[in-house]
Amino acid sequence: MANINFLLTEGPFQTEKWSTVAKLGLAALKKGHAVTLFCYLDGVYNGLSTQEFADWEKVPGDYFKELVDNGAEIVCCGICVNARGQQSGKFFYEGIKVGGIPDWAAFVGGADRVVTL
Amino acid sequence: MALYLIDLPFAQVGLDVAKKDSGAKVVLIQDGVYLDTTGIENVYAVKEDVERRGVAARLGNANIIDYDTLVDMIVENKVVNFA
Amino acid sequence: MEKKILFMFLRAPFGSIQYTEGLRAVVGMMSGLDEHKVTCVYAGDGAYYSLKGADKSESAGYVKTIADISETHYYVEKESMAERGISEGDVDETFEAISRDDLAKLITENDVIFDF
Repeated sequence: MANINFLLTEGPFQTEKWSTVAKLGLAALKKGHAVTLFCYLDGVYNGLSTQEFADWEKVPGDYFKELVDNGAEIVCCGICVNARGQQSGKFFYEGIKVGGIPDWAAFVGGADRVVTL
Repeated sequence: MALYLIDLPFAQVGLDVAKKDSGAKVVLIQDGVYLDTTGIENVYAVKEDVERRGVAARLGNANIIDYDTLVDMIVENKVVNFA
Repeated sequence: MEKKILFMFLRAPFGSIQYTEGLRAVVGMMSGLDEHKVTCVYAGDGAYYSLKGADKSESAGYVKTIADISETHYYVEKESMAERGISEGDVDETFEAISRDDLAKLITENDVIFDF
């Protein structure tokens, strides 16, 4: 089984990168691979539990919760989190962590593959 | 011998570099499925991205793959990110 | 495990923040426990950042920290320069011009390839 690290640098609702990462990540987990995800820049908006959008049955945050619930390790850049007024990630789904680039560097060090979106 | 993940904004450099790699597999992802890849071998396109955009008939020689297959390809090949 | 990482800067600088946040990421990659080895290449619209007149003040701190950790190359790709009417005389001395063949070789030589 492989260890796949994803980097996500864009937020939800605006571009489709969050969707590609979520669907690829879930497909990888179902196949038994280990998945890590570092959310950088606007990527840190994806793990918020407070998203609301009536047009969609599931909001992006639901997919990131699903990733964590299925064993993915998700770390969000702390500088990016606070720069965006997210108060140390207090609105993130449980299990989505706040950390730093050294955490991402460790993900990359342990990964067989790295995918950036 | 790598897998090139290519989206539209970085396609000019990405496709050109992939052409220099004799064993390259090119995966068109997101808006990358709008690209013309005539003359490039081993081209793949992500099914969901293709179907939503209605471009299946325009893809020429590209093989359409789902996320499960893309995961297998990512595991089997070094990934070069142009997405 | 220590890896060789290639950072490709492909976006035009200033329109988005990746040109400098990518360098913050380079610092982090080099200073973690694994001490990854990093090479930077500017291609596509990223080549505009090599212009002598481009304001590099926001990333100067990162560039200095990177230099303190290890010798790091900053390449700019000749084909991208030519496509944008940039001549070697227009380019800041930090950057060394390389061909697209050289970029393809760097991609082969590095373990991880990031696009910023």
